[in-house]
Amino acid sequence: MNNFNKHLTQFFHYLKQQGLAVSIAEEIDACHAVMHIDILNRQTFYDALRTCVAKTYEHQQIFRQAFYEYWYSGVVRQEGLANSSSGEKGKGHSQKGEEATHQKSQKNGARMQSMFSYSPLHSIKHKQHFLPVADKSLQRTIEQIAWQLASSLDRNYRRSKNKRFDLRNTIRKNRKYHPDILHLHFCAKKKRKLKLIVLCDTSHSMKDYNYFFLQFIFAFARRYKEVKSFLFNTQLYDITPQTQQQNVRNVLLSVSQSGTRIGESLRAFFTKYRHLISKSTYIVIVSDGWDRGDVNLMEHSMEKLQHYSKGIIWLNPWSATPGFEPTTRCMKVAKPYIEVLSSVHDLDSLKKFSRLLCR
Amino acid sequence: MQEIQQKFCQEGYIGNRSIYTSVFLAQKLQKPLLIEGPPGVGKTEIAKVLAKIHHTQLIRLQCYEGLDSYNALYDWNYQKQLLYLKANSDVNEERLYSEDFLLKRPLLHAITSSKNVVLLIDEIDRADEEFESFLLEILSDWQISIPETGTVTAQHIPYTILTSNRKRPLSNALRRRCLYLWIDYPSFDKELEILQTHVPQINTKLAGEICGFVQAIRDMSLAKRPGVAETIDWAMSLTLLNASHLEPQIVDELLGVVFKNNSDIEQVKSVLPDLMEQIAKTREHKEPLQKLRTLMAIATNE
Repeated sequence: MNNFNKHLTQFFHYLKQQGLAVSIAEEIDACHAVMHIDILNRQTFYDALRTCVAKTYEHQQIFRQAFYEYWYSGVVRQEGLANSSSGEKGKGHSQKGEEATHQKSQKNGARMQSMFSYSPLHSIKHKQHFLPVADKSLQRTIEQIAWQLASSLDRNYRRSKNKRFDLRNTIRKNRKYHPDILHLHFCAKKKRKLKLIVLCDTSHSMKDYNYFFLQFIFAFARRYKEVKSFLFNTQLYDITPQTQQQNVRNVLLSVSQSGTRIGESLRAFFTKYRHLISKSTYIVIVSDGWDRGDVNLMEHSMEKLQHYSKGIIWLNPWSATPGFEPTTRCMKVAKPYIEVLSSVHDLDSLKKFSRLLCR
Repeated sequence: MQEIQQKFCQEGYIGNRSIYTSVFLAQKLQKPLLIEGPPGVGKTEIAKVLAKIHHTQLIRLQCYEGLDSYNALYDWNYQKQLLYLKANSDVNEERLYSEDFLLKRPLLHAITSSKNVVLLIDEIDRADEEFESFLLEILSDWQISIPETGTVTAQHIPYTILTSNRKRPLSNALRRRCLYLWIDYPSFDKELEILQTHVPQINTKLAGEICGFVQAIRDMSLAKRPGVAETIDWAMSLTLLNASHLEPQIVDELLGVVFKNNSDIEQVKSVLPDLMEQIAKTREHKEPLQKLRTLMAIATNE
């Protein structure tokens, strides 16, 4: 194996360390690719390797960083080569030499750890109770999850594995060709579209949480038309038209943040928007359950909502806290009618929520 | 590779080095090229230009929800088979399932072609996952299994381009079988060059203002950011209306050419006075229009 091939193999190994799963087939492709290009031209070399091994936009970002670290800074490359060559020669080495190599690899490992122990994406993923930061990468990720969910739900046609021969339709459509049957007809099941109604508590305690969740709902509503969004505190606001036009911050600013009366708000919703609820509708209530309203009224409204809808999902930001129990007056009353009590406080839980809706 | 670059330029496709490298390698390694990127950045155009430079046929398979093998690969001409059965009393099954009764759909057509064709599988993300899995055999082994007749292997491997707008994530199995290219929105200079190539009658000042405007707008959070295709349409419209530079009134009237969503139009209208003011300033001070993006960012933050 010549020196260049060694470097290339080490570079693939380095990519794997960075989280880029490069398969053997892709490594072979990359080796073939470099045979067709001018490897002395770094830009071409970079493009060729990237085309062969980084197969998503996100992977290309990782690749870019790894490429510059390995081929430009040279530190990783030289140390990697030194390690491998010492490994080859080390068969007949003295104990001193082995110790030196061991120390070196330990040093190298420590250096690698210090270099790559921090991941911004990881910290974003697990950050709880989002502040209204204008983080573009976060927004993009939220939008992406929303779009993926929208596109998976938007497909009302599902190709059935056992596509059935539609005898009734075939006979009816071929009557004019009697006795021949010229056109065959098949049928497949249609997937019923999910409808979603989101009721979001805008009290002061929910401020930061709402911003994060509504970003997702706005992005989702822009792609998926079967979403109706409402805000509530002491009264109910229909924000469905605004989800198409305005940004989250403007909508939240336009609504007061004083007090919560869940029971009254749910009753108002049921009275005015009963026609929106059907057996394919999920009702998502986003609230921490701190309420001073009429509990009996709330119980009555919850019962009705549960009866007419597919189910009620309650998103409580505190439910992710270890040892959480729904002990507030409101939550105790609501609990029997809730199908899923969850929290959407970070990207992982947002993905979990998306999967729940796809179910 | 320079040859590809030259030929692409001759056909009016202004790309960057990474595009040419990917296309070059896809040809050399005989691998499909998966192109992703926002809508309207020239993904499909690559396949069209490739067909032109190779003087070959472009076979396009437009993917959609519910696309199945009968529409993508092959089907039996049932009516013809029926007529044949009526006309001939002595028919064996082998004859009935011969090539005479086979309806070739785009994929089979590309595989059985007598010369290298360009196969464009457009917007693969719109198709179902089942169809994506079905493509794997074709893209790795360049062969198709027809149960009634056997396996058909490609005589000439087609230049295959797959495009996706990332509406849903594609499987790793498909990605592994392809080379990958991400095309982003072009830089100011590149977009200006594209505009001047596609709308040669446009004056440089107007072209610069259009590019500066579009580049600044792309930083906004819009439902659908304008692609290069929209920029070209806008430039053509402005040229037809004999505009020499961007004026607020004409921009306002033609927003529908660039933005295809009412919420986007409303959002752009709200920043339009600022944007036009910045354009006028750059015009007066003869500042480079590339700065418009930075100026707009500052103005928006303020």
